[in-house]
Amino acid sequence: MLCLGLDSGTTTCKGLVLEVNSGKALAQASAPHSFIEGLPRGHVEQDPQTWCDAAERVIQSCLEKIGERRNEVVAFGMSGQQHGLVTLDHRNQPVRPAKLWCDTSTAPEAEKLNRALGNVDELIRRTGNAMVPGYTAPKILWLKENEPKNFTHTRTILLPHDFLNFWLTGERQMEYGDASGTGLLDVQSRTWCAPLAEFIDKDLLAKFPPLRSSTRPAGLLRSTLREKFQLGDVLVSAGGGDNMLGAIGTGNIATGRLSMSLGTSGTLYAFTETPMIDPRGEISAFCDSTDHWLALACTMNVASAVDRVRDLFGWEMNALEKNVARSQPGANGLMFLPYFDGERLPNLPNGCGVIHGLNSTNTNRQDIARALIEGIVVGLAQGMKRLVALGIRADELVSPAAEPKVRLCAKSCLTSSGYQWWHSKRGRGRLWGQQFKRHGLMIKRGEIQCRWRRL
Amino acid sequence: MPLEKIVKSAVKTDRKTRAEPRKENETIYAELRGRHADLTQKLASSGYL
Repeated sequence: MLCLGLDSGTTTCKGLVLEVNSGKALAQASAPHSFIEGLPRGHVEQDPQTWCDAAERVIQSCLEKIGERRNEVVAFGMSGQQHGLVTLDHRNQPVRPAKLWCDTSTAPEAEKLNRALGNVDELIRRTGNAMVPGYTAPKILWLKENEPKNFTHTRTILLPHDFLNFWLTGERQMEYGDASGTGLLDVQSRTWCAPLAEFIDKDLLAKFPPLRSSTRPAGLLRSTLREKFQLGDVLVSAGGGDNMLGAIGTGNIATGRLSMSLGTSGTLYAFTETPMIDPRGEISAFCDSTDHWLALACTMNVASAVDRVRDLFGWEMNALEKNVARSQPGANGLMFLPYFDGERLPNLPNGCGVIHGLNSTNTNRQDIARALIEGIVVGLAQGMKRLVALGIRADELVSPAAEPKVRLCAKSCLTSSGYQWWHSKRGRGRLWGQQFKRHGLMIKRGEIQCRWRRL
Repeated sequence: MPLEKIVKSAVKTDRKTRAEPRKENETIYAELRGRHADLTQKLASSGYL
């Protein structure tokens, strides 16, 4: 029995075929998808069709690698970048490109939504979360205010993995986990917060598909794809947001474990038995993919910040790591605030990068390299501190790895920063971690990077 | 098959890559965290972020 897991991230779609009984990974593949270029600062968009195209290439590549064993494939599972807004018209075609989680052009709309029910405290009381520009709700309000015709033409609103499930199965639906990232869900009752939705538009909820348990399958692979891929009946799981499925892939399905995922963004998250609601609104109280909850801290600038500085100096990853190693903890007084794309924690959607403390001894490549990595790590540490303050207790920090560029970033972050709980004495090793859903599965590479000492 | 059972059998961590904290750096990074927060707050409150 074989299952195929897909992860449609911000820049790449990854896939892996797993032999369920043995736990052996038989094939893997990846394919990039691109951003729409030339948009103003803060606007980050992709054509949803490019996600399907990349996923199709990944599926074909994986199936080619397993040859005749494709007949044994029984299930697909889809993980997707959270929060993105996909709008479909009456023909189920995208009305416009999807605005992504890292699109901060919606900061004014997020502020309006924070006041929609009176004040942000009331919003947190009613939904469990404060509104940040990255969530889906401000993107919907942005669409209505800035592109009213497109809003009118929108019949269906989906999240990225819902859209990919729709492509796979022909079924339109949402599950609790990813739906909680819209900012419109009351995470305690797992129902839409009607007054908040009506603040955006009185008919908004009619544009949403049915909301379902995260453990209920999305459906069967539709016949045209079954024929194209030369497969039999294939069940497609509900799938979920990338962090929710990253939690399963790192075994974070009970209390006592903390996971860290480093990609374009950085997230720290932990399973909770009840919603962990942050009165400050800094930590997200999401639903997870097991019909429980996920407390999550997110910083926006990890691999993206590393890439910008690497590009600036023309460094490969090993050059960056060497420069980091040549400096010392504290980077000789240099501080780097890596808020290139704005920031979510702290909530600075219009923020920018800052290098502070340049002098005649630290104006060099190695101290700038180290200050960058320390800036990224310190941002994540602030999130961890807040999670601990809210009651998260864990003995270990477990990290799934993604594409090589990000693994190098993680390695650099963990092994070179010297940060108190993130120093790897032996470098990086890998093995397969798997993300399963009850009626299908998701798969990611998993690795433990460090032990975590309680602050 | 229950999710717990699948995760138990399939999700494994590589103990070879376990890393311990560096005690000698704790003070440096605790202080750095405070300086980052302070710089961010001051720049944000004065309209530079």
